[in-house]
Amino acid sequence: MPIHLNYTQATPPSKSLSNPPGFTNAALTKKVIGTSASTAESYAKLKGKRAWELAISPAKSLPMNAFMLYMSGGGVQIFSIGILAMLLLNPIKAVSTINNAFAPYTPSASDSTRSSLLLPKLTYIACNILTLALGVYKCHSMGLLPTGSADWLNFETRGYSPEISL
Amino acid sequence: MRLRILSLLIFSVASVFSLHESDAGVTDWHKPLVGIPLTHSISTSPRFHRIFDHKGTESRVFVATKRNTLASLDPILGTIAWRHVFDEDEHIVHVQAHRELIVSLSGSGTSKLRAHEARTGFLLWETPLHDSFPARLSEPGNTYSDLMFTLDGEDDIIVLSNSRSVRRLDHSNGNVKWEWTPTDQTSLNLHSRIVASRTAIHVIAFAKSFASYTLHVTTIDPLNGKEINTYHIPSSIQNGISHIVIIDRIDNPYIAWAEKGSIKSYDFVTGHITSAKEKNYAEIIDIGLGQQGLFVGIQDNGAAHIFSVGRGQSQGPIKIWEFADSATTPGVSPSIYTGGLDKEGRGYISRVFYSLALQSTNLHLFSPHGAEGKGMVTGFTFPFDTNSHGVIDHVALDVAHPQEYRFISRVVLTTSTGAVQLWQQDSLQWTREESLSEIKAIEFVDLPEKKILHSNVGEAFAQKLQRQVAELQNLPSYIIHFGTRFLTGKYETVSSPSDPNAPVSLYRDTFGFHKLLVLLTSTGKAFGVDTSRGRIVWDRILGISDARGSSLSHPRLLVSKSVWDDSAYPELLVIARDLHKDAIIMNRLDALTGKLIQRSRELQPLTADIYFLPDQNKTILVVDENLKIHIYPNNRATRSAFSDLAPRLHFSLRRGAPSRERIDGFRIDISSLGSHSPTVHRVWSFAPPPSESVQYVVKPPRDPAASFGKALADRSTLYKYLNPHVICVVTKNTDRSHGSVYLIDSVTGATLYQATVSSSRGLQATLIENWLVYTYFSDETNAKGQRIVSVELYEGSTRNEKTSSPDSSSFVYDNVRVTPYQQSFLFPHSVNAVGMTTTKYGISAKDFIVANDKSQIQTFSRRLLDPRRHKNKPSAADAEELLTPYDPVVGDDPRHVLSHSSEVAGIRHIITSPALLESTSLVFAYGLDLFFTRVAPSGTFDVLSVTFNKLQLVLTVLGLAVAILVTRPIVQRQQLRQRWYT
Repeated sequence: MPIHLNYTQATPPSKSLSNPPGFTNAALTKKVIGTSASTAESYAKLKGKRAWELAISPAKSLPMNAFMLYMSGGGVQIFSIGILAMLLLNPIKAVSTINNAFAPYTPSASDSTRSSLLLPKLTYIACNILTLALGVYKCHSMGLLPTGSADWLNFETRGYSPEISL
Repeated sequence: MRLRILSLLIFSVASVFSLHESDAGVTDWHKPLVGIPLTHSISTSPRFHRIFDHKGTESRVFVATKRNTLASLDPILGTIAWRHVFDEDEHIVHVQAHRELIVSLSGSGTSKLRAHEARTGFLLWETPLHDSFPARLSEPGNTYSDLMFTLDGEDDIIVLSNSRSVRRLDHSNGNVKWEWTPTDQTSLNLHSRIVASRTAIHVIAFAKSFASYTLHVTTIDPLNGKEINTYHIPSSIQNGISHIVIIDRIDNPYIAWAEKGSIKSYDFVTGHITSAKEKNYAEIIDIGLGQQGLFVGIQDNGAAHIFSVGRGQSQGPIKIWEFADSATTPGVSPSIYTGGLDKEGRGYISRVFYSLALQSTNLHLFSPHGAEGKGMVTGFTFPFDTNSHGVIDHVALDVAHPQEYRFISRVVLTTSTGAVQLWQQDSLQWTREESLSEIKAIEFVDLPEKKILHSNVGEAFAQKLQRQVAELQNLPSYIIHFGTRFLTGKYETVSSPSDPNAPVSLYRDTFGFHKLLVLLTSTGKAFGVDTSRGRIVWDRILGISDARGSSLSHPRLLVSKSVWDDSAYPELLVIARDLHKDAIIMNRLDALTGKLIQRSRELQPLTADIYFLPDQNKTILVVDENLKIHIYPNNRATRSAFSDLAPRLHFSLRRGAPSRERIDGFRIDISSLGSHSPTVHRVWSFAPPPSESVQYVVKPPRDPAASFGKALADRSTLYKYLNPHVICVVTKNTDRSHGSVYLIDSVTGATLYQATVSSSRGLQATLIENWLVYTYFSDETNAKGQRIVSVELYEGSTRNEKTSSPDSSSFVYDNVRVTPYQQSFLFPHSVNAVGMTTTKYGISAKDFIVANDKSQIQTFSRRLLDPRRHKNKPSAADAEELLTPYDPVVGDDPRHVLSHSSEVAGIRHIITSPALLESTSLVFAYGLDLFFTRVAPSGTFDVLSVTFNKLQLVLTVLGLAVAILVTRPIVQRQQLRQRWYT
């Protein structure tokens, strides 16, 4: 008679089979029964905590980014432009994939506090905007932003004088 | 410091772009000229001179010209052997050649005597005779000076100058040995000639007596200049001072003159006056053969007799020959008599005249010693082209006498159109168009594009098929040709040398460097000169020119149709006053051939100015001196176009007495629009302060402005003041102590900028966009020197302030709110002419072009003359703007010189024209010489560099393609293997 080993059940299907040596049933059942409610709650709390961590992570890297920008100098070179491009693109990328980023931290369907991710998300966006602002500021300090009148000089047009001098 | 080096580097790179040594003579050309020869007096007219020295004999043609140039021409080649261009106000009064010395007397009051080595032109010495105060008598063709060599073996120079003083100068160093001035200071005697014999120097003066002149002689000791005696020669000369002939034979000098129809001579040795037997002489002509004792007497009927004085036993003048048929007849032009010498120093006399009946120019040559001393005449006709050279003004003669009864004559003709020609017998050796040294009007004409037209219209299908099959045989050669062209990249480069002997093609080249220059000269002749090699393509006489000058005055040259106006060929319009007929003449010319299309002459008040109406038809508006407007062509369309634009039209004219000129601004009287010739009324008048007079007005070129402002380092803008109505008026004080420059709005008359500088030589100014540059020689006592002042005008009072000057009305207050930035620079040379480069779209930088007194053409970049350069420590912002610290001296860097080593003398004007390439501007300088070149102020950014290797590029691309073809299957196979076996 073939023997089928069933590992899916915690309790043996029949009492005829003795437990493996060193196995105590009590250790198993006790744990499961004793923490079932509080585990779900803490898990949700953990998720929330992690969500907040993610939300403020761009702000955490801000000083580092600022330092990198400072070190890359004011000249238009490959490094400064690379860092700048990263700084400008990353926040946009991050914001556009915000739902994916927060997906692991979505509360389970049973959770009563379902809307709790809105705030972290807003914070996340705000922090990314901060990063973006840093990039834009760097652009400005490098003179890449068309803020002066000279930047728009080529688009200026003039008509003809109402008088004609021969 | 680093900034400075950087900016220097940029300057040098920019200037290096403009010049490559290999480009000299390829992209530019230089035509040295000497000017139209002075022919009115025998003392300065062109002549042949033989130089004998240890190297052998050399023949030269010496000319003194209206452009104060003393030059020696090579009679074989027609080139300039050497030339000396004297100062602007230093007219040549007398030229005398003797052996290897050529001595010239020049300047107002005959103030300077110079000796040049005849062969090389080397200046041996220069002696000032007077201060250059206004001459006691200065008139054109000054006959109150004389210059001669003592023929006593010492070859010293005796000079009579300013009609008073006689000096003897050592020929080797110009030291004055003695000087004589008349003791009677108040004497009215005009000393005009000197005659030397071995024992005495006779100074001949004209004493004015009743209705005629009497000859008065003062005899001077030739060794110490002491006056020996004075006496009168009983004579009465009616027709002026130039009508005496000096027979300056050292052993026995004479003087001959015409008196009451008879010819008389005075023998200085014996003191006898002898008359010729024949009567009825109107005048006698000095033909420069005094040493041979020959001159020409003209009878009342025009017949010419040759006289000899002191010939044989006789003492007086003897008629030795009569030119046959020389009496004035209707079909023959007045004859020109000239004397010439051969190698042995024997005299010859030629008669040149034009016969209407024979339609030919004749030369009769009389040789007194020919036919065993009996005298003989030989002659020939030569095909002088009177249609393109006018009439002959002057003839200089040189004769070769190789064997008995054989005479070969060479003549140098000076024509009324200013051409100098050398004919050897009846063949033309060379022509020099010297009137090009006096250009009155000039225009660049764009050439049409070469179109290859195949008209196969109306061809049947079978014919077409047949033609195409026939053309198929050219296919292999076409493919081969295409392949080689594609591979080797033999394209036109900016400095493609054109074959100097190839015929001139009147089609535009790829880059638009090839244009036609149309020049109108002071002699009334128009020339078409191609810009690629400087050859004369066509010439045409538009006005008769005679001793009074050209009949055309105040000529205006306009391109009435250009190739950009959908016109098949460009057309020119020449409008000028005809002084002889007192009318305005209009000539329409085909610009490519010079053919006259239409000529109209109308009697009307003199033209004040001519304008183009800014409409499609290029209607011409002529404003006459009575301030009436005439429209050409006058038809319904042009009249309505004029009426439409009339309320907006403004123009300004120079008016008033010559010493007190002012500028008046006008508008058209709307009420008079319906009439035949509308009138105008004055809106404003710009009168410079009393004692100042308008010298000239500079109108900036109507070129497009690429940018309306100047971007600064902080990305703010200084908006350029681009008011299209601004004109620059240059005035001069009447006592010539200072000059002023004004910028005026020609619509309202408002003065926008003004500067007065102390300079006695006047200002040169040029204006483009918002940039004014003027240069002058400063007379301030502790700051003498040439200055260049650069002024830039910007809108408003600060940066970023915009008043929209190009399109706002001049009557708006904002339009006079201008901030000038200015800076003055020192320049090491005196400046003769200034100009500014122009390009097609105005994107390239503008260069300032200068013709200096070292006979060079130089360019200076706008950056060098930037008025915003300052003395403070350069900031980072300045570095970003490439603004170098202010340096007061504009250096004499040889890299700025456009003219290379060629000596471009006497330049008075510089004009520029855009090429089709945006980077390049064509520059033409004229005055005495003609010089043409092209410059790329910002580098030739729009052309491939010469070093571009097309073959390398093609090979690289082909190599890569082959590599891809080879590696692709290998890689594919490997990838497949990988899938299977891993």
